[in-house]
Amino acid sequence: MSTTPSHNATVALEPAPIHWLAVIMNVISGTILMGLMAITFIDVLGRTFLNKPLTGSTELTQVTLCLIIFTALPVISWRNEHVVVDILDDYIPPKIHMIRTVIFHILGAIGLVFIGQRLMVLGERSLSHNEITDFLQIPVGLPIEFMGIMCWITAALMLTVGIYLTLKRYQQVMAKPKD
Amino acid sequence: METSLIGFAVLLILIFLRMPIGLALGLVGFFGFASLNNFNWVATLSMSARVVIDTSQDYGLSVIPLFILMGNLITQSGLSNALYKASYAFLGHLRGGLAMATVVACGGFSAICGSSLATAATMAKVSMPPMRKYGYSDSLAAASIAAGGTLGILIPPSVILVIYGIMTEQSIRELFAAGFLPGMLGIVLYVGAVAWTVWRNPQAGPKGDPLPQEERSAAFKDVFGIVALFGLVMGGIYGGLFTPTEAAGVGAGGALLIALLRRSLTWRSLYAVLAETTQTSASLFMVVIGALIFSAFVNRAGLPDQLVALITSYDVAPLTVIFMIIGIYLILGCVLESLSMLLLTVPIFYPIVQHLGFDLVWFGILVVIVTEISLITPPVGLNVFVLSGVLKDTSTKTIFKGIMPFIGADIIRLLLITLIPAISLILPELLYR
Repeated sequence: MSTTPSHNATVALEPAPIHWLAVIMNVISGTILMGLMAITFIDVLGRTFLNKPLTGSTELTQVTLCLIIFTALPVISWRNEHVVVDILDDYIPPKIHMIRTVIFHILGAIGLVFIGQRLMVLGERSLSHNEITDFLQIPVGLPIEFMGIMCWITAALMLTVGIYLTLKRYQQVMAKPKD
Repeated sequence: METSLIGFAVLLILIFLRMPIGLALGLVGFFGFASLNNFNWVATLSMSARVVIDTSQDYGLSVIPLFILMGNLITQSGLSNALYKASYAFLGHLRGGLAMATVVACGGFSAICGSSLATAATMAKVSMPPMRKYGYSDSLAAASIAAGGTLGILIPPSVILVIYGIMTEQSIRELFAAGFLPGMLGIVLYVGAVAWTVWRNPQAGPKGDPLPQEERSAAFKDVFGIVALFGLVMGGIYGGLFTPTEAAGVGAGGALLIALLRRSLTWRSLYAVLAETTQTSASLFMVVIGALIFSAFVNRAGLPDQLVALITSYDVAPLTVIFMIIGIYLILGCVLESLSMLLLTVPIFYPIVQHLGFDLVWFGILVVIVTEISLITPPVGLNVFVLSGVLKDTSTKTIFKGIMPFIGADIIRLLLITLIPAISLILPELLYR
């Protein structure tokens, strides 16, 4: 997995409210992850020693998984920490790098808006059919709509914070004298 | 055929322009799929949205964040040091023994940690100073860390095998069983590569001092936790006690326990571990989602079928096809990031392999070994770059010089496993079939 080598530099440029937003989202997704761990742990222990599995643990696992992924998505997106092939980075002038990063933020955001819109439609449809899961009777449409909303939020943050950080980083690189 | 080839070309261009790989895969897959369906945007969007919904709620894929969490907790708990000590107690007094100990410790650490980059970075801090102290050549010392770090992506539990299993609908359990012996073979051959290096040049790796008996026992006691954890996780899966997802949950819980017992966890470091885990998982999922949209496109375009027809029409021996596929992987591996390479190619190759009558579990092991090799081959062996980033005074050139015997060992392993499928298939046969 290659994340941007400039990770810390980018994070350091974040204005305080954005930084705290990242912390809050990390805490939420991290807590849910601990929850996922607890679910499987309790399920296994209960089944092995008490002969009493946790009801609906599979469903809970599925829902928590999508909560984790989509709570973490905005942060990695505005920080531009997606998996990339960066072998040519040393040969690319900072200006080109800045321009392409802005373009990819815009393209990514457009894609997310459309996917998010479709997710909302599918979620709505599922809700109107009153689809629920077998054991815990969780409405199937809720996690889908959650994903849709998070796609939109991610898109908005990429267009604002993502581009802002890209420009900031460019300024910083240009201001630094060559070593 | 043309549509998919154009798709591939565009995809590679976008990836090398540094577009996020998940986005590139998704966009090309999306527009390709739409072009094959008379530009019915709603249907294409629905297909993509379905992929998003199904993938991010896939029970099987939930092992990914849990195994990554387990690995990050183990990394945090400082067990790398203990593992190195224990391996040193075993091998340190041999010629080249410190490098051998490094390989073994890397194998053990990366099996649990699951990330070869993290293993290389962590083990560098632990095993480089003693090797320097005993006057090891930089190229052997660094190469043994870079190569050793790759071992873990095959030794179960392995995230890459899980993703392969989900893409090809193979049993994760069988894949995990199949990965074990080839992984061990990898450790043995790498130790052999070290032995070969010091046989050629004894100055490269002098003997270390043997440890007194009580220190040896202490070293083993220190790694008991990690060995027990590995035993629990893998024993549970092999023995059918729990599913891989549950094993991952238990493993992460156990790793948390170990980290707490070793007092290596503060609130701050727990936060860092959790944040890193969820972010790594999310970025992995984006690539997987993109790859599945892309594979919906190439399947719709009929590329796998056409390739099967093409190969059948030439009447080549099945094993030749396998060697051709391996050749393609070795070339792609020189330029592409490992997971992306796998996600890009597996949907196209696996129908061919299946059609030729090969075992897909065996093929999965082959693919992962080729991926391991790609992490250390010039010009862009990622492990080598990470390592030279961690060891500021060691250039990639030095490491690449030392790594050749290890690549040789990998090629031998690749040949052995290709020609003798039993090495990978005997355990799943015995356990499940």
